[in-house]
Amino acid sequence: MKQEQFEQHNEASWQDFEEWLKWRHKRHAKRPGKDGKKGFAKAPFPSRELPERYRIICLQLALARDRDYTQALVEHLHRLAQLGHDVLYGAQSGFTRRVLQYAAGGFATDVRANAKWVLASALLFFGPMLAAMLAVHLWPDFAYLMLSPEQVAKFESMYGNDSRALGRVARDASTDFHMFGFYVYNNVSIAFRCFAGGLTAGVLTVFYLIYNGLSIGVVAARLGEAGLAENFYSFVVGHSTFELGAIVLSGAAGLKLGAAILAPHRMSRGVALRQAGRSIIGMVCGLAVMLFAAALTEAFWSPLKLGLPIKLTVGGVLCALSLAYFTLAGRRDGT
Amino acid sequence: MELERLSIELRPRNAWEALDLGVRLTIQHARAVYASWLAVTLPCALLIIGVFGIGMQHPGWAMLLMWWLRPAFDRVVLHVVSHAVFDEAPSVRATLRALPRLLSPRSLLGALTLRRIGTQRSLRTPVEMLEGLHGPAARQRRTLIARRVGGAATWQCIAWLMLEVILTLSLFGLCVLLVPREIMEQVNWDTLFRQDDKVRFIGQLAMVLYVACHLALEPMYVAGGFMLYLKRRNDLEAWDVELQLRRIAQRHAAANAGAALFSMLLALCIAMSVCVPTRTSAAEGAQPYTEEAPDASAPVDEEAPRRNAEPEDMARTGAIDNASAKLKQIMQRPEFGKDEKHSVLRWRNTDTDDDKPWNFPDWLGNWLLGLGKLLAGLGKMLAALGRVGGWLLIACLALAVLYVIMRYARGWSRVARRTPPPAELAGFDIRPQSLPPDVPAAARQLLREGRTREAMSLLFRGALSVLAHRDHVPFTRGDTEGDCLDRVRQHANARFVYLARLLGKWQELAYAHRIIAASDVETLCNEWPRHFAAQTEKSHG
Amino acid sequence: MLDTLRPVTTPELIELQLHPAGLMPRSLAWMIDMAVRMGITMALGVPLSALGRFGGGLLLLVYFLLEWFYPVFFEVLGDGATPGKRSLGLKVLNDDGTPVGWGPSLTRNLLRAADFLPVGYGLGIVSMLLHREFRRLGDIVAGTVVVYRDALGGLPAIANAPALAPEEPLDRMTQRALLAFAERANSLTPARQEELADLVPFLADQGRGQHGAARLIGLANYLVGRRT
Repeated sequence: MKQEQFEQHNEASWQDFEEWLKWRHKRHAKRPGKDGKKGFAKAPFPSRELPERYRIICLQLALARDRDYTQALVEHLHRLAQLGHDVLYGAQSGFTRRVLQYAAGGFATDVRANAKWVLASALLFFGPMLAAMLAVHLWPDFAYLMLSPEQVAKFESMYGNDSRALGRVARDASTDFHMFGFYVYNNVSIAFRCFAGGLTAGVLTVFYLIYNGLSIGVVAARLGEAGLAENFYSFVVGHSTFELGAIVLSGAAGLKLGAAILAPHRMSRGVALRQAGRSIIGMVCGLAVMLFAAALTEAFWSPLKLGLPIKLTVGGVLCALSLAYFTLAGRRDGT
Repeated sequence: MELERLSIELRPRNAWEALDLGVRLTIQHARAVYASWLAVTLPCALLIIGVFGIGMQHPGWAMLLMWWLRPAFDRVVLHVVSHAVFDEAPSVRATLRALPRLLSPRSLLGALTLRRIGTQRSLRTPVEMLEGLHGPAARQRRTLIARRVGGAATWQCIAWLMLEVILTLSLFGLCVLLVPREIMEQVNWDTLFRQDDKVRFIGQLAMVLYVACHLALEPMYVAGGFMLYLKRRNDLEAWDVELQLRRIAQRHAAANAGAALFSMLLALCIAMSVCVPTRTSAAEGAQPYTEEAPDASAPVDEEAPRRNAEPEDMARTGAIDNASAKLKQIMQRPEFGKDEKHSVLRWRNTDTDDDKPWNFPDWLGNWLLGLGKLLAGLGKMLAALGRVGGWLLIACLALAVLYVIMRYARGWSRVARRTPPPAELAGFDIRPQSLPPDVPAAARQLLREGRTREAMSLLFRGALSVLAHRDHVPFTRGDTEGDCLDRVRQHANARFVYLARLLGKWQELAYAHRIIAASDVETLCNEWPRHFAAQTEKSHG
Repeated sequence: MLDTLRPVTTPELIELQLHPAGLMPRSLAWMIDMAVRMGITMALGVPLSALGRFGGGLLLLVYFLLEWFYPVFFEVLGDGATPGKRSLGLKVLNDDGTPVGWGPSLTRNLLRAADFLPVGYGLGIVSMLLHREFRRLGDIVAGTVVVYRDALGGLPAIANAPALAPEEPLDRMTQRALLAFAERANSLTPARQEELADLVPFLADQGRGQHGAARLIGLANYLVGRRT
């Protein structure tokens, strides 16, 4: 078949296809995900015909290439095929359901699947933390290695008995919200960087973990030495499960990325990295949600001046719930 | 120029792609490009840094001088790159030998003075250097080349300038990270530009880093400009088509002629290719490289001695000798004097709105001041609302957690999750109503009739049906027999051993076509009720 | 042969050519996106800062979302391109040519933090310069690639001329060359057309110059099936 004949023969269907793409684009832009009946009337063919028409275009592209039709025609068909390909393979199915399912068990399964990295990360984080606490207990001046005297004084005034709210010098309603924004912005960003730091062969991740462990340990122990332990723990017990857990998880994600660079096993580094990235991105999103929850608690619940027992109970319940979630959830799916 | 030897793919590509190809070319020939480039520039850079930056304590001057001398250094890269596209990247020695020709005062004078400031330099340098034109002809040629791709050249100039600065800052940041904090705290950043003794080293550090970045990035910039030039030439002269035509001409020549005739045709071909320059206009031609240009360094110069061995030497030399006269003659033609107007859509102005610093117009300022008090009150209210909102968010989150636990936790509302079992599984109809009321008895009956196969099939089918409907093993449509067994192992382990035996026998019979002893089937029939009969329902419900 | 293409094969066994985009357009696109983000922050910042610390908190949230999720949002829901990328004709795809989804988009954008190291995207720039398909670290891990949306634009049609039948059947290579010549003919000067036609005098029926070029175009018209 000569090119002109070929074009004349198929021109109409190509135009239909292009029209349909335009129509879909418009509908998509206005109402994502909804099947608008009004727009439907304008579509040149019903959506269910797309796969077949797309395959026909692919066939025609192959023919056009094989028969050495002009480059312009080949490019035109190539473009149509590519657009069709995008639509067909880009269909996002059941996003909400996937998210819910992931929250219901997939997240916990992922964490369990990466148990060794979580463990390593926890050791790198809690180890220095406990060491710092011990060190401050034995040599109180150790704190000044990590913090300047002004910082120590600031922390002590934050958790001092005379401050109206815990953990902060002054406080009113808008401060709560400001702190919430700050916690989200600051903590989640740090966690993301801790994860991304894995691409430096894990060096930055390890640094973040140890550094954060040390500074938290020093502050906790120093405040304990100053007799403010009750205030401090009353403040942190509510959100610490989420926050520390999320730090450990982000560390685990970073370590896994780093390991893919250092020891890619039998894959090329690129492939190893891609696999590692794919397997932990869900976990990173999950830990971001955890940090969001931690920020909520830290901003609104933790500063309340309630009795230590109440705070401890709530903190304990949250901790138990999280532990139960991570050990039990998602086991049924057997994935 | 022999297009056949070109090592880059000739195809229509947009200007950005040409720039990208420049980067790829530089990386591909990194060793040759950077060896020649550094051999020339590194000593110069060290000299300039040493004399101006460290000796005279003016890092800024050193940087300015390095920047100003770029057109001179760029010619070295261009020399290497223009050979590299033919896979003939010259050695350092060859480049150094070509240096006097590349950096002749005559060609550099304009480049370093009048034409120094200009954003399309990367595109114009190849025209000046490789085509060796002078005067108005050169100007026209430059305009022609820059017509469609000038915008891209400008953008690449801006982008590389920016990238150089950014990369310098990045390296600087790396240094700052590596320097202990105690030292950094003593640095007074305000005095950075006042030549204070304490911070002088920072200025010098910035200078060294900037020059280092410049040395690393400049070849790619030059190669990008060169690729842009090649792209434009290809657009104007359809080199890819020429290549195709040459190939079929070669084949034609090879196929159609005997040995004697062949050599004659070859001679003709060569003669023809020699004639090409004479037919070519300087503005549009395929071969504007001519001997007339003393500083032309294009590969064509190196080809000359090779071709001189051919018998058509004389014709070629004659053509070349006439070339300059012919060129001038051609340039007189009316088609080279006219102006053309092209309107091109650019997106230059799209982002200016966002970039402008925020300036309060007076009226707006006053108005806002009046609004301020109102907003402050509103702010307090919203803050209280914000706190409420925070608590609401917590409540929602708690509710969501509760819901998820309720919905998905093991043992809770198991019924809600269940999907009805499929009607058909592994090719068997497993609806309870399709089964006889007493499966083993029916199987025995079939066995007595000698229909062992049907008997076994019935037993297996019955077992699956009970497992699906009574024990709620989550089979899905499309599960194979093996999948079914796996699911039974996971969800109803007590039935696993029996089912495995049953399945094994069934497979032996159905697929391996072995004879199953009637006694075996009898045993299976006898054990069947123990696992699947109705009365056991309670204990496993 | 050096080129910048990335061929991918679809499940239909059709080869699609992706045109990966390099550092230059991507950095310009980034600049535009940066300007947009700054514009949003400033537009919201003025009224929000009037609300005191509450507004400050809100602004921090907005800033957080803009920093991490602005590209994700546009890449997944906006046809693979942020406003900056769109204005430069770029889009993000998975490296098998499929549109990018939430997972890969999140991966590549969260790993921006690694590309940013040490300051100002130093690692990302180096990675993009060295990688064959101009990928930054985030792209490598996420398995994505930034490509030109419509790399070639419209290609010219074959110049119209009375069709001429060839004397003898033409082989594929010749047909291809003739079509390519006729497609490009309109953008060439007559002199260059003649020069090219003179390369194949046997096709041009020994017709030299203008006549030869016209003859080649006529043959091409015959090949695409135009009949007069």
